[in-house]
This record gives sequence, structure tokens and C-alpha cells, in this order.
Amino acid sequence: MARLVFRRIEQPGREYWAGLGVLAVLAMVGLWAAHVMELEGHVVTGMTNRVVWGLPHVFAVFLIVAASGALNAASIASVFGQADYKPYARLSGLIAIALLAGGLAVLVLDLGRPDRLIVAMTRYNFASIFAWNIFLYVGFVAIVAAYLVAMMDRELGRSDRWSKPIGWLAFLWRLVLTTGTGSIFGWLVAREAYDAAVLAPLFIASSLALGTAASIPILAACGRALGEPLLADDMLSRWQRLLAIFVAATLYFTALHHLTNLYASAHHGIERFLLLEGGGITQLFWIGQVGIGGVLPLALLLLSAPTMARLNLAAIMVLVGGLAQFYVVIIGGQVYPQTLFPGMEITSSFHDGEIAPYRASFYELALGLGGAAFALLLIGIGAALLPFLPRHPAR
Amino acid sequence: MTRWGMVIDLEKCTGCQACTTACQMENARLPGEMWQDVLFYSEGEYPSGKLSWLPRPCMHCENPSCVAVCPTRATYKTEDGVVLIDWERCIGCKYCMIACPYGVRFYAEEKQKTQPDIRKVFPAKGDKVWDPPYKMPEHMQNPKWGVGIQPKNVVSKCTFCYHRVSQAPKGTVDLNPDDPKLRPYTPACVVTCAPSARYFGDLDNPSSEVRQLIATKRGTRLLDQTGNRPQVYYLAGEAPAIPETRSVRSGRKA
Repeated sequence: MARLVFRRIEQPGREYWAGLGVLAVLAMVGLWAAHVMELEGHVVTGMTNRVVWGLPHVFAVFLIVAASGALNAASIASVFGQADYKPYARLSGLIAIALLAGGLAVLVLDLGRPDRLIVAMTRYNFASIFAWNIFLYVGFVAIVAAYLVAMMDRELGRSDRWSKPIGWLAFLWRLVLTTGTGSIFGWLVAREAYDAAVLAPLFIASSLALGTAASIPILAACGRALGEPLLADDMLSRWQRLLAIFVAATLYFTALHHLTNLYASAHHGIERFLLLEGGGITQLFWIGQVGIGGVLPLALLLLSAPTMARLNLAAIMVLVGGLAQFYVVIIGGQVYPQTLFPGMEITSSFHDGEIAPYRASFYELALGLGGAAFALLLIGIGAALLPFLPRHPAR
Repeated sequence: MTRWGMVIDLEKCTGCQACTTACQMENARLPGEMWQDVLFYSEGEYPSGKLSWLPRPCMHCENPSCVAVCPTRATYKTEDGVVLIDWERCIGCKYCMIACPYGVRFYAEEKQKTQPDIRKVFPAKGDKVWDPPYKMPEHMQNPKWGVGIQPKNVVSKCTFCYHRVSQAPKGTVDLNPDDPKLRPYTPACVVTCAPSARYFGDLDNPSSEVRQLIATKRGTRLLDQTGNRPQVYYLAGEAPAIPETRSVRSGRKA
């Protein structure tokens, strides 16, 4: 294998600047939307006292989970010794940090009191998985940054002496990080839709699929900015197989989650709601999560010859399915009523016993998209400032 | 040390919602934000259908999920067993609202159920939600306890009227609203309850009325299987009125 040479987008074209401009506008609109929600509160959102985490949380969790998986290329190269993935290791580190930054930006701006972030950073309750996640997210950024330094520094990057152990640490850390994110829901006994330990491995499988899927269009866009594709034919088929394996794993754990729930009669109500009678939530599960995000891309990846266009299409479908998945988990889990009296019809001024209505407002969508745009903006700027991109396609 | 708890006798409760209104007035809650609510539930089908009700304040659990999940320790448990929210430390992440099995937590910036929006009729200065014409005296308000006029974008809930209860003379076993000396220290819902269906006292004191009632009248707790161990007990009489304690035919499809 030829010596790896990395480069940056040295002469950004008109398309690059236009793309960056659109992303900057989207990020600013997201910031403005967060400001409006901060001033006005739940009133301007679809959120209520029953559905307290809305569309911004869906985007935040989606971006954070994808961030962990975006490090796949680097992990495969350093941890599993697959040198063919080494050209993509630097970019995967950049994508991981950027997606996490985007997700955290949405999460923080969706807090009731983002002005008290310093409280969250200084007063910890170690019984709370939320508090643990603050450490996991900050630690992830620090470790991936160190990983990038180990790979990109002229001296340190000459051998694997530093990048390999840091790569191992990053690999283990991201497994714990995604476990932590899944456990935000999995450790809750109060909601029937959550309260399942299998959510942690499900989130890990999702992170592997979403991170890989997010990397593919970014690789394609970077290749376009450079004027040459970054994925040669042999790597195209490897990325294709990789994505297929992760999508299949996500489908497997999704099936496992619902089958486990169906085994316990206490969870039959929520499962009937999610799988059969939940209206939009049910459609989103079967059409969005399982169909568009699972079965269709899997068929496309396994049954067709590898081309960049097909791989891109499959990756985008997986990303759309990922958003649907987190919408079903987060919103679906909240709109279904908490069961205080099993088997009873309940009414109260608090809408107990009813399926809570939820329709995301423009502000919520703008904040979520703004976070994603912010992440892509960071990647675009990073790729132009520092040599994250391989000069020669692998092999 | 005292461990405050409440007993609600469902055989006496008429579902009149006087407790709800008293709580609203005492704590200056916004319309629809009922720290103390009454749930109505039905079972069976015509002609043997039955309507029942159950008042639901915060359960002030012994082992509260909300305290466990709060990342900043804004939700905490006092030495005398009351679960409170420090409004100056709450970051508004709402994880506690997701984690509470009883659905008794509220986020202030909710859509108003009545128009005009009362927050605009009585606007507040600073970061408070509103400035109602009726409110407790300034010296009784304490944001560290989640008592008083609430700041924007934080979570709130029933405090067992901690501004009253915490001032009770040391060694008080029962806060009986019929005793004029103890009435000012008794939670507003207990004072107002017309059929005297509510009792408030020290759960750890074997001689307290609440303890005796729980022991002799089979006090039960809601969703005990979650392990939260509520400090609000219900007396359901001979035919337990809390449905989870008996087998019933489901009237609900989902």
C-alpha cells in the first residue's frame, strides 16, 4: 500500500461556499428558534406536560448516537488492523466530534435553562445517567481529539505507537457512551415503552449503522469538493457490506426489543400501540424505521452491484430510518399514557389515560435541523482547514 | 427524625376537588397546573359499570426516581422525608418528568387552558412566570424548596406545603387541622378537605394517627412494584378501591 498522504480542500469552489452558506443559515435559524422557545416556552412547541421531550430531543439523540458510530472507520483501522480504512480514519474522527457537537448543541438549547449549563457542569448526581453522560460526551470529544492529534501530528503520526492505544480507548469509550445514551431510556421503569435493558445494545447497533451511513454522503461530498472520488471500487463494496451488516444488526435488536416486550403481558398495551394501533407512530415504525431505514436499504446493499449512487441512496435511507426510529422511541414512549390503574378507563384534568397529542412545531424542527447543519458546518470548515482527506483513494 | 407522610381515605373522599383548589390558591399555580389532582376511573360495563376517583398529590416517595435521575441534584429529599425541587438549580431538562411513574410533575411554560393567558394579565418582572394578585407572603416563599412564585422554564410539583409543615413545632406527631394550634402548619389540601379524608403525620412514629390508620385499615400505595415506596397511602376500605390490588375485568382495549 502506498504511503498515505492527506490533504485539505485547498481551493473550495462555488458549490462548497454555497453549501456552507446554506448550512450557516440553517444553523442560525436553529439558534433563533431556540431563542424563541426559551422566551415563550412550551406554548410555541408541540410539547406539553405529558410529552416533555419533543422533536429537538429526537434530533439530539440521533446526532449523538450517529457521532459514536461515525468513528467506525478509525476503529476498524486502529483496533481491528484493517489498513484499508486508514485513509478515512482522520475524517471519521472529525465527523464524530462534529456530530456530537451538533447533538449536544440541540440538547443544551432545548433545556429549560441553558443559562444554567454551568450548574450541570459543576453539580453532579452520580446516580443519574444524565450526569454520567455529561462525562461520557466531554470525554469522547477529548479522546477523539487526542486520537486525531496522534494520527495527524508529524512526529506522533509516523507510527501507531500512540494512535493504536488511543484508538482502543476511543473504541471502548464509544461503546460505553452509546450504552449510556440508550440507558437514559432503558433504566426508566416509569414508562412502559422504555424500561428495557436491550435498548442499550439496540442503541449501539443503531450507532454503528447511523455513523457509517452519515459518513458515506460526507465522503461523497468531500470527494466532489476535491474533484475526485474518495471511495475506490473495492472500498465501495467494503463500505456497502459494512453498512449492510450494521443495518441488519439494528433490525435484529429492534425485533428483539419488541419480542422481549411482547413476552411480558404488562407491556402488551404499549406494544399494541406501537406496532398496530398507534396511527402515525405505527406508520413511522413500519414504513419509516423498518421499511425505509431497514429492509429497503438492506435489499439495495445486498442485492445490487456497488455504485456510489446506490451506496449514497442506501445511506440516506438509513439516516431517515434512524430519525424515524428515535421519533418512535422518544415520542411514542411519551404519548402512550402511564398506567396507574391497569385495565381501567382513566380521566383527569391531566389527560391521564389518553394518548397524548403531539405535533412538532416549526421551531422544534428548526432547532433540530440547525443542530445537524451546525455539525455539517464544522465538518465543512474542518475539511478545508486541516488535512483530513486522503490524497489517494485506498489501494 | 420525623418522616412526613399522608393518608387519604378513599371511602371518605367525595372527589369534590376542594383539595385541588386549595392547593392552587395556596401555591399560586397557573390554571391547569394542578399539583394535586383527582383522577376519575371507570371499571366494568353497563349495567354494572362503576366510577371511582382518587386524589393524586406528589407521592414524596421514600426511594424517588426523580431524585435518582436529576443530574444536578435540583430534586432532593429533605431529612424529614419530603421531596422538593430547588428552582435555583433546576436546568429544565425534564428528565424527572419522564422518570416519575405517577405523572405529578409540571413544566411551567405550558399552553394555558383558559383564555386570556393569565400570565399576560398578571405579568411578572424578572424571570418569574407571573405575578398573581393572590400569593403567599414573601417571607414564606423559598425557591430552594420550590415554594412561591415560580421562575420560568423549571419543573414544579407538590411540596406537601413545606412552607407550612417545616415550621411545625418539633416533636409534632400528627398535623391535625382540627387543632387550631397546628392548623397553620398543616398542608392546605388537608385543611380544606371537607369530609376530613386526609391525614398528615409522622410515618416513623408508631403512635401517629397515619401509622395507626395504615396498620389497621390496610393502607396501600400506588404502583408499589416500581420500588419507589410512596409516602402517600390510600385507605380503600373493605372492598379495595385501588384497582391494582384486585383482579378486574379490563374495560380498556389498549
